[in-house]
Amino acid sequence: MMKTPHNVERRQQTADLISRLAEKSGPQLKPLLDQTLVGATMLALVGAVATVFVITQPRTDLGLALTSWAMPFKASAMSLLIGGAFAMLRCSAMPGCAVRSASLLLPVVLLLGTGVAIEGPNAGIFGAHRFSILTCMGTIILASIVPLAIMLGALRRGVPTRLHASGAYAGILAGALGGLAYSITCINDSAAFVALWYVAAIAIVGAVGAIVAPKLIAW
Amino acid sequence: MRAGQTGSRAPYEAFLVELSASLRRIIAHQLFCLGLNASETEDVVQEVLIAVHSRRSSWDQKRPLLPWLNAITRYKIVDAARRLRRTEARNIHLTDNEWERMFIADEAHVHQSPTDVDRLVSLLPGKQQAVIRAVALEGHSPEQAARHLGMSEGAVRVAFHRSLIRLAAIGGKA
Repeated sequence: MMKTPHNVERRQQTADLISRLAEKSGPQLKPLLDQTLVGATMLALVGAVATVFVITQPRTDLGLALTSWAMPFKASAMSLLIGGAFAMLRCSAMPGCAVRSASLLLPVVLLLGTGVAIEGPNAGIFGAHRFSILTCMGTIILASIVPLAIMLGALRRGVPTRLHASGAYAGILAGALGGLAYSITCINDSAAFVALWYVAAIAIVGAVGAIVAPKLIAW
Repeated sequence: MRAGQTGSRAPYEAFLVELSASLRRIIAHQLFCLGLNASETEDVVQEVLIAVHSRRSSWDQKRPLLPWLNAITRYKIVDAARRLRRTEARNIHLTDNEWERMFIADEAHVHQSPTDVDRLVSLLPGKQQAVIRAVALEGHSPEQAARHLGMSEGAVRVAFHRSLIRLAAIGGKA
């Protein structure tokens, strides 16, 4: 860049700025990112469960379902997704941290794939009744709204530098929390149903998170 | 960078000076590649320095510094590029000749009396009216009008251009 008088003046301003910044060097109160994210996730789960209980009620055969493979399967899948999404979100809030999405999502993909392989891909894919898909996706999405708001708020403690990605991870985490909460009331026990419709609902929440994040967490 | 976290002023200042030199090259190149005005480079350098300073506690000393710096620099460049594109879209790029021609009265309207002109101008919204009076009627330059009206020169030029379009529309209907 040519050294015009204007540029020389601007460079002097930069030199002055550096002096002022150097005067203010020293320890800062470190933002408690991990504690904030963990606390926010727990609060978000409470929010998701509360929303589900407002919209619907626990399945009448909850005791029986707990002893079958279906509920543990759903809860495990959602928990693995929560763990993976949490790790991706945490990394996205730390500049320079490389997010390994594939490896973090592999456990849930393997679990869902195994369930579908054992049961067969068409077993119960459309749910127990004709409104199953709408009810499932609608409830998960609604139950994810409060968690999404909480997780985006928690992200502001970090330094996210890829806002769309951070928003997407917050959405996936919120969606998985919604899915975990919904699994208490969901009567659709097919692995294929969970692999398709739960994941579709979570993907929608992820997309919403990616869209709104730049407006909410830009710094 | 560690000096910045522990409060050692001189090493931290030296780090920031060295960082600013690297940033200047990187940002000038990036703005050029994005087709933006490279004269904004120093502004963006300052924004990155402020971001690095204000977020320094987010760097974990056990992790490498460069990826952290790169991530913050990239974020600020993208942010600045978005802002510069919005500003460029609002600016009206006219040559000096084109600006001058706008101040010369169209011959078709030379028959209009001063009261006709005043009547037309009074139909404009307040700010546009003030700009037209200052520039076209009182003969001030855009710079002088900007100082007098407490606006930026760019805003005066935009308001003047829009006023002329509006006057042409009003005059055409009359």
